[in-house]
Amino acid sequence: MKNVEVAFVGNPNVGKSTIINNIAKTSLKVGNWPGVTVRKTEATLVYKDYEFHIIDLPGTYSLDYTSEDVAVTTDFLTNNPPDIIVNIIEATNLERSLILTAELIELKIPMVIVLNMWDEALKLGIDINIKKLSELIGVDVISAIGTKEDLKDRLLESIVSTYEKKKTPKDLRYSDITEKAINDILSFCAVPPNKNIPPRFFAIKMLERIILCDCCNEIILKLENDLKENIYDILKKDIYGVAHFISSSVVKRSFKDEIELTEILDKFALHPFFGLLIFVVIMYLMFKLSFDVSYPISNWIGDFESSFLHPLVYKLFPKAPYIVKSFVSGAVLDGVGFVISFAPLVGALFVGLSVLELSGYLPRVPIIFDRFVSKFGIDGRGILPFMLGFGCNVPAIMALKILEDKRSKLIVAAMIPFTSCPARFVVFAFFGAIFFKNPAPIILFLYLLGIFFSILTAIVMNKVLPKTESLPMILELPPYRKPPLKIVLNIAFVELKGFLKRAGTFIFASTVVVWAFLHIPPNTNVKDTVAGKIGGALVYVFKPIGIEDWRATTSLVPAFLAREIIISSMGAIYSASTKEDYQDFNIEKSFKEQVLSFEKALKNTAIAFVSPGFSNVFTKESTDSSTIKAIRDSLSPYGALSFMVFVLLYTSCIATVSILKSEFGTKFAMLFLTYSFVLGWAVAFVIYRLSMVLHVF
Amino acid sequence: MKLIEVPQDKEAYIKGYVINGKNENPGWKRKLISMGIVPGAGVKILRKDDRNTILKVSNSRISICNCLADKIEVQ
Repeated sequence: MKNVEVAFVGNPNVGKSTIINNIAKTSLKVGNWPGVTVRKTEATLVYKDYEFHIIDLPGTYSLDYTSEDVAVTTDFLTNNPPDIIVNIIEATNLERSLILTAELIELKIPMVIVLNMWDEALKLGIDINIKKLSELIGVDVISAIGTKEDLKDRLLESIVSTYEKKKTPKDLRYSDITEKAINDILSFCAVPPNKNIPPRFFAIKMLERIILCDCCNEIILKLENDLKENIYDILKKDIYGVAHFISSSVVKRSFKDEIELTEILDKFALHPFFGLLIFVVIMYLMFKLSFDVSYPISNWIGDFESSFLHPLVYKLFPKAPYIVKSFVSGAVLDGVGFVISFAPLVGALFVGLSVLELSGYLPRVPIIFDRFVSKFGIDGRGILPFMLGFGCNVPAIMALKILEDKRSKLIVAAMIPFTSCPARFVVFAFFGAIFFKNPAPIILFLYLLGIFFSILTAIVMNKVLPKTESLPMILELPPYRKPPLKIVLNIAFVELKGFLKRAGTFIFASTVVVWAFLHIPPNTNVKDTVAGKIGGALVYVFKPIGIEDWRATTSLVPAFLAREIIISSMGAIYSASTKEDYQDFNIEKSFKEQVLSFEKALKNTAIAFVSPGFSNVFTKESTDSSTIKAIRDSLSPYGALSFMVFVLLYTSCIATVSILKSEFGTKFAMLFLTYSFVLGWAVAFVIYRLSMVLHVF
Repeated sequence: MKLIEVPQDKEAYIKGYVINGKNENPGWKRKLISMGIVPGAGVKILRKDDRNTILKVSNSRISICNCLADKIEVQ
């Protein structure tokens, strides 16, 4: 078996990850916006006698160091050259893509070119002569529709043939002036030693002043004095000349430009007023639809767990030791079961987010908000990682790599943890359904409160951090595309799988620890156990904000690991302090009821789906278990609201704190953790007292 | 004539960049060039306001902040 390392390179948003998913059947993150891939991701694929190690590199327009994600690509290609480069080119934009191709050619690494989005090019009347393009560059060229056709055999055969024949691109020769400048640098200056990459590549980078040295600076200044022209401009003109020559030799356009749908839609989507209005409507519909579509099924899962599985355990194993029954019902069913019941909600939310990403709407958001966010020291690009925070704070903080200056990164990093990720959403939905008749306005309030404190934090940081020169914002806007259903469902499935995996491993393990603490020492009143004592001590801290029950405060302790653990812990803690009576439970009758209830849930989901934004499933009555009743009795609605506010603002997620630490250092992570705790407590205190005074509920 | 002075939906050709001093290659110029905003390229203004300009070069729609649009010369 031969091992072949293949790097996928190309401009941002040309479909590199989509093509890797196509051939390797992986589930790499894809989206219709530049900056989806901000770090090197890998996959392995076996084909015939070859084991391909596939590397997905962040998209770039040039091999330089303008931002962290671009530096990942530049460093990888120069320090660890792969066996093959698969250069993904947008067929609708060949000439522009050939600028990066010219830089890749200088690496002298065997290359395959994929002209992706072939269908879109045909629609625009762009006809590319593939054979001629292949002859001009000297490598294999294949056309592709990454989202639709199966490319595995065609692309892998081409990679195998290129690898075996070591098919490197033809040499590029620029104007005499540029060639002389390159030769002078090669003759007189010390080019960085690299056994895999030709010195000519580095000489060109020295000419571009990407690699700086006194010797080459002297050569450049002398040449510029003689020519009275900027040598960088001459070099780029040459590269563009090559790109233009190749493009004009192979591209034929059969009809004139027409105003495209994208331009018509953008007249509204990017309008300073209508753009904002459209954004608010889209976001509202996305959250409302996710909620309404998933709630009936989520509710059914919760009900199935408490009204069927729970009594079933007691009915089937009446003589099992109490500790076993307590473990199954407390840790497994009431603990992890509660979290799993929110799986439909998480799946629906990711379907919504994927549609926004794949449609091309997401990259428009920075432009809509640029004017607003510039008031607190960042440009519109900061909005993209911030928006990703609504999916998960961890990849959102990693996506800060697309920002170019550290100041903006710090400001946005401090904003992200206040966005309501699905873990918080799950807690809000759980509390909302228990304590409030119509929880939708409460949840919307919490989302807005999170955004408010994100902005407030950004304003404070903008005042505190030393001012630096702000870098200009240049963004490419992809065309609007119909999100491929298969890819939308695949993304939602991958995220859902991750959520369930966490429920089955991390959250289960944490719940077992909580359950164990509830039984140490054994055979004592729950309040006298280790968990009871910790919770009892914490009551003094949380009493002023309306959380007076030791069981509620105890659930906040393991929640530092992940917010969903609040629910599983509550399930375990409250069920340990309640007594269930399943004398009248009839398996057959109850099962039939569950089947009917499931049918009803599916029907309600279908109704919610066809009436987005108008159904009101939250007013639906559900059967409450004794655990739910115990939770409801332990907190007032004011206390519950205060609890939700604290969970919103306090960064109780070890993964987020870890990524803050790795990206910005321990000091920043610890400072932020303290800040979020103090802020969460203070705001919960104010809201708790104010809502009571105003008799909000 | 600077880019911002081109009326919306009218086509123009990029002539060069306005830079103070000699031999400057600031980061923004490198990025504009690598994104295809190069001398000789045809350009159409799709939208402009006091902060951002969205232009179309070849088949790409590119949003650039206005401070940069002021630095691009067209003819």
